[in-house]
Amino acid sequence: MINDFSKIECHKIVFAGAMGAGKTTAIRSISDVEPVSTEVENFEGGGGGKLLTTVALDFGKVKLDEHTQLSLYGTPGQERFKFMWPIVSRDALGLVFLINNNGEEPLKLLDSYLKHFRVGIDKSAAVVGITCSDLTNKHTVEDYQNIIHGHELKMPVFTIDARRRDDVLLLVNALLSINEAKRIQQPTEEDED
Amino acid sequence: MGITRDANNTASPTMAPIVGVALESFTARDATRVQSMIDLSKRWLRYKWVVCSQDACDMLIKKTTNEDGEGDISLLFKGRLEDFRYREKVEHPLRMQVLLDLFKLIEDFLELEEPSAPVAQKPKKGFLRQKKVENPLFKALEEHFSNGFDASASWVMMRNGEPWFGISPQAQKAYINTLPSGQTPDVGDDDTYEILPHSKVQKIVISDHSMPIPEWWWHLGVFLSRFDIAPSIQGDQYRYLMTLWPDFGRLAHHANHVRVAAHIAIGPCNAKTLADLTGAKPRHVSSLINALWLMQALETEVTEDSEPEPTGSLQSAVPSIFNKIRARFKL
Repeated sequence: MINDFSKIECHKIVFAGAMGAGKTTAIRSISDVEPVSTEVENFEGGGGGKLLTTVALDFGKVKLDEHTQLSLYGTPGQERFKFMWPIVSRDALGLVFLINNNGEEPLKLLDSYLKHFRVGIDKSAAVVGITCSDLTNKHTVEDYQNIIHGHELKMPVFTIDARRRDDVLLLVNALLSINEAKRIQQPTEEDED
Repeated sequence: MGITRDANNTASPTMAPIVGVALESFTARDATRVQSMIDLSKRWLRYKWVVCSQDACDMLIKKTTNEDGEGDISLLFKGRLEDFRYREKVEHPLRMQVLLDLFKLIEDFLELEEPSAPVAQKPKKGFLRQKKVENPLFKALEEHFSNGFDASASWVMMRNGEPWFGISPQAQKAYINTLPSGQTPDVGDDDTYEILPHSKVQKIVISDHSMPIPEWWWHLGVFLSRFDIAPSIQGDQYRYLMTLWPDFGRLAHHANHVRVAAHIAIGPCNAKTLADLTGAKPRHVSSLINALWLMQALETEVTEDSEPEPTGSLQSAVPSIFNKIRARFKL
């Protein structure tokens, strides 16, 4: 994707996760700049009243060279904002699902992500990062893998600390590796052009 | 024939019979590599074959030393078999000196002109593997797995009659009785290994040194990679398919482990193809394969030679953006 104004080629990785899952922290650990949070007011009409909900999008970036940039987007993971997911994740190099193991219904949350991001998962790559595992062992990696298998997918699930740069880079490495492997083993017409 | 050296210390080849050892690297120029060769040299007398990297597969160095300190070496280099005889310097009993002499010999050999003698026959496919001594630890593990591995059972690996490590699925722990966590001992030709049900081991003491079971299998698999891929699943005819991603967030790993894992998560490949496609070193491929095998996360299939492997250069197949990201983050 080329930005005609700046001639900067932009690519993106999307981090999805509920509040407290570690999106901002993860983006901060690899971004060249301090992540910027944007607020979008969500208006819901119905019954004559308006509901105002504020949701934050995180944005970070990594300069790869003079003409290439990697954008890091953090998209809210609550299901009521799922209308944003296909918009934010369009043409992404990969998707990172950050799940707070100590949060509310983490397995159900992952199940929802897999369902609604399925197009993006099939088209590029996805990886699951489980955060806050040091606070609880409520669910194991195996539990998350069972959810993934239920969707007939095979996806890495890594226990990570979003504060640790190496852990976040593990997620990035997995996305790149899966993309590379797909292009070699399952090339599409687009890849061969 | 013997070995002679001229004023420039250049060696001339001779003939000699051999016992085999394959070195991980054949140059001693790099001090770091020398150290690793020193470590390997400690095993020379115990093993007839030491794991060789893909680089060293082109060069097989066979060595034996008699009572007089004379040694015979045969170098199989890129299909040519050349024999040497060397004399171990008795005034330098340290293995490092022997090793350095050996490497100097190899370097001299590499600088030699093409011999006028007829070229030796190319080794048969699989030649390098045919005479490898069976590793007793592999053998014990393979027997255990082939007898119907019960993932719910608690058992102990005995080493030379003593408890070495145990697996307790109930506790979700692998406990190491004798060693601090993260350490594994050398494996010798004369060591004996046996897997017993936990209830039959009287002296087992569950120490504080324990780790999660998958982590232990990963650790052991990486350790076993020094002996190459497990014999029962080793060979160009084997293609590997990963059934479950390991949790690399909890496992000490190399970035290339992730790259290799991604390939065999999608489709089966053999070890050589994996190394070619990913640029990973063979030891990274073998350590991942061994670990996945122990973690019960690997399927294998035997293929006919005619079946094509995924081909192509990774560099040409992927967009440059991936390489830029990897370069930026040093992945």
